[in-house]
Amino acid sequence: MPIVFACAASHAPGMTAWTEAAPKEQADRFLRGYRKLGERLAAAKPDTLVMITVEHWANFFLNHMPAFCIGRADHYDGPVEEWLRIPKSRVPGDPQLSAALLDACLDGGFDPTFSDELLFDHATMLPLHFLNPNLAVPVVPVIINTLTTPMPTPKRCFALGQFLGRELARSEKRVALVATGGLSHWPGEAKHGKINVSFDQKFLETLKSRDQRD
Amino acid sequence: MSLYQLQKLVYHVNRDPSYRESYRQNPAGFVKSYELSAEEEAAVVNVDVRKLYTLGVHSLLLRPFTLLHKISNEDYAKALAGLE
Repeated sequence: MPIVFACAASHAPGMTAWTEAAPKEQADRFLRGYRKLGERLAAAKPDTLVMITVEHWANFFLNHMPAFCIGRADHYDGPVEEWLRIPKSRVPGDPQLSAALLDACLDGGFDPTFSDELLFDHATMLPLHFLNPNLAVPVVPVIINTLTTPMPTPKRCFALGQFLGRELARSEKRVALVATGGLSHWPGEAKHGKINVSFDQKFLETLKSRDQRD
Repeated sequence: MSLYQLQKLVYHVNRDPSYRESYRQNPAGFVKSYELSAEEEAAVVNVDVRKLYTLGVHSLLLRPFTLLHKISNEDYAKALAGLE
């Protein structure tokens, strides 16, 4: 069955943790847009939500850092952050789809690790808060190391994305796909809070034009 | 330098409520469980943001650690001023 919904969205924790730091009109407009995406997701009536996101030291440390990890649990708890202003919840998983995806990856030339116990941080809980607020749709998390070197190349991530798209479109389930991250940002670094507008615009144009050269 | 051990301490405090509680009750004792230099121990006990950053603690370990200490975005930026 074709993928019934797909979007990419930011998971910046300030959206819930420091909402008041943005001008109210701007924050309201942005969050309205996020909730509208949630309405479109619900209207697509997905059976499962596959969420592609990144590691932030929630589950993995330098003693073992996978390039890619697919969660296979029947539920996930989060958020891990005390300060996120999102209530702690238990998110249902879809271990059957997780197992099918893992088998497909290993057959298809990708070797993700798997985990039967993952904690969710803002990268998953914040988008869910707006897109799947009742946590009614089970989630399969796909976590990428974009945190610490060495990390998978953009080319490899792109190839995995194409592969997952093809596999999920063959699933009997109605699958929604959500990829979360951010445009230019330096969280916790000395440039914390700054953005690179020209890079962001170029990136969004490239995404819209489906230009695959870089 | 024992950056791995220093980051491990921060990771444990950020992510594990039992470690966090032990750290909050007795930071000076807690740091002794890790193989740290005197400089690293002092940076943790004093929550010296600039020192922890320059010692190499990953920014996404350091910022959540400072949030546990209720350090605002403004004070965090001040602590790192000039390091860009």
